[in-house]
Amino acid sequence: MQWAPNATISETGDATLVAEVGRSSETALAELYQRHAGAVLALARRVLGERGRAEEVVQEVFLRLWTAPGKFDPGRGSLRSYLLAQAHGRAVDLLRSESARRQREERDARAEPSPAYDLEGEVVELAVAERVREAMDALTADERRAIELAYFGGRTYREVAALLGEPEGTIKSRIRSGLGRLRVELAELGVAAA
Amino acid sequence: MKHAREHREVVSLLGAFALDAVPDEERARIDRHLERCRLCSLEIELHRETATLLVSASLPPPGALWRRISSGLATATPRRAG
Repeated sequence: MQWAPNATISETGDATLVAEVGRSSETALAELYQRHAGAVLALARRVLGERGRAEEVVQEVFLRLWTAPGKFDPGRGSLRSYLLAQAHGRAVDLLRSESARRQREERDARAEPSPAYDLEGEVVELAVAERVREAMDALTADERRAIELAYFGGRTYREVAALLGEPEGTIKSRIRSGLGRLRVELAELGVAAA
Repeated sequence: MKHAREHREVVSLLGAFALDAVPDEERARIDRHLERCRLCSLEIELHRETATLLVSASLPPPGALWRRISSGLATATPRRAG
């Protein structure tokens, strides 16, 4: 056994804890919830726009980690990234369901044109936040906008293209080049994903 | 040769795919390609890690939600070996 509950759990790595979840350790799952559920909830809430359904997504994501911990492959990225990808996929599915689409259209019809990219309140691990903001500044406004509408707005690249009145191919490229540049900038600023 | 052409087509969609921004009708084709192409899979992992950094981790996770999750674990547990 690599970890002793209570004594060293806070120093135990995510992958080891996931293995413990595989042995039905609720303590390990609780620790992973403490570490990551805040971010999972923040993302689901940002995409869905309301707390109730966002909490349902968090619940689904952690129950899935409990029932199928083997789906997480530590060789293929961080647990944070895995959990957020699961939550994002689920939130987007909900958003794209018919009733949700209607709600969003009504909301959009009432809303002002979306504000410029705003990281305020989105990234609050402060030491990291300033660097993330700096890295975002290295992108063009068009790249930032495309990434925001796709990731936080839950829109397809085609919807983003229609919304901005740009060709679909342009939006595809912007999302990809923006993410690529962001990664390089963040690495240069010493920020790497966990 | 077929792989090379398919690769070129899929590559342009990798950023959007990583952000779940590809419509369903295009997703299946990319999924099939990813099963065979480690390079494209790796790029998607990198994009997802990057997107992860844009998400706030500041909110303390709600205790009430944990209690709901915790109370559902017994029924959610599949049969496990050992």
